[in-house]
Amino acid sequence: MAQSAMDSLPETQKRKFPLRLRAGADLFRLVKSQLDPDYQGLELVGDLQITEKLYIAAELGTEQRTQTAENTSFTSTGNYIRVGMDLDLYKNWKGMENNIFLGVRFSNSLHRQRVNRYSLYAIHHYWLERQTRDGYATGERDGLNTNWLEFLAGIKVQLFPNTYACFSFRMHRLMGNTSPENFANLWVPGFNKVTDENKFGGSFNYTLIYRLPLRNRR
Amino acid sequence: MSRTLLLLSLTLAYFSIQCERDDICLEGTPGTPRVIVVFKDAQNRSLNKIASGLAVAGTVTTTSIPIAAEDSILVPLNALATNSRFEFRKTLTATQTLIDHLSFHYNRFDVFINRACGYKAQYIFENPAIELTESGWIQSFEVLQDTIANETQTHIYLYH
Repeated sequence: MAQSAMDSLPETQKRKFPLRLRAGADLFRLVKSQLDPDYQGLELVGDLQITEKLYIAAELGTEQRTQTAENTSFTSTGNYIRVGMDLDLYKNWKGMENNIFLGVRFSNSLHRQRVNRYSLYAIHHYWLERQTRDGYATGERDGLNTNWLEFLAGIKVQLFPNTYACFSFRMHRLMGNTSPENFANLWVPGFNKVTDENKFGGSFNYTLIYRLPLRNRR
Repeated sequence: MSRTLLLLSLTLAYFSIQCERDDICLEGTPGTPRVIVVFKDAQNRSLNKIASGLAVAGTVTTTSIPIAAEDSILVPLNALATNSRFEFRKTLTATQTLIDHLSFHYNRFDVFINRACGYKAQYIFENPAIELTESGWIQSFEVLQDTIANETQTHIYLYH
């Protein structure tokens, strides 16, 4: 179906916009997974040029992070997908393939939150207080879903033929969030920290991408 | 040129994500509630009665619980046990003291507040909620609230 739609494009336009598919991985998450014992993460990225300035872009990721927010230690685990468009703003010299771009993504994360241990919040301390490690509110809350809109700005720099370094800075706007029972989504894979008082978050990625050696269609 | 820009923006982003504001639990956020015990007159049960010369302490810790008002006391329960035993010591004269013991029996459940404050405990009294071993000054008790969820309403009356 899609193939026949493409075939109906005028001949000149086809030559102008060859199939340009790039794929890669986020380096920051790979490095952090090695250095931080409380973090495991992987993000695969890809983009497909559809017009001179427009790209369809997507990121697929998986993350696990254990952290302590004040008195509560918890582990967030999940997968996320971001799909959207990048608009290129950079006018290249002939033969160069660098990008400065703005983008938007619709993002969705399926995850679970596990409360490992916590100390009870008390204003008046009398009894010996220790952390609670089992029972009551500890344990896993699964089947959680968070979605958000992402606005990003980034640059892609050609390092070698067919190889690019890409950096993007992202602002997240929380849309939907299923709240775990007797806990909260304090951190969401792909979204990062969720704060109590606002619906915005931020992240960045630093990827190495490779242009797949696909032949231009004629 | 663009590679320098890439490196610069990476450094910037790294620091902007590293410097996160600390979350501080707001002052005034209600914490784990204590049991509000009010002293009543055994003869005229509708009146509050001051318990003078009173000292209250857990039988394990022996540290006295601060007494703010003369006719009531806020008793903290031990979150890591299902009962807490307290010594209610009343000094009558320099040589005469009466010691009554009160055991609270309860179940705990924890409620999530927010990121900065974490969890607080709440309690539900067992039946019977209180075991009273008296030596002459506390005559009886009355349980008004089965659930210890906040410090706004009286939970227990002690008649003396």
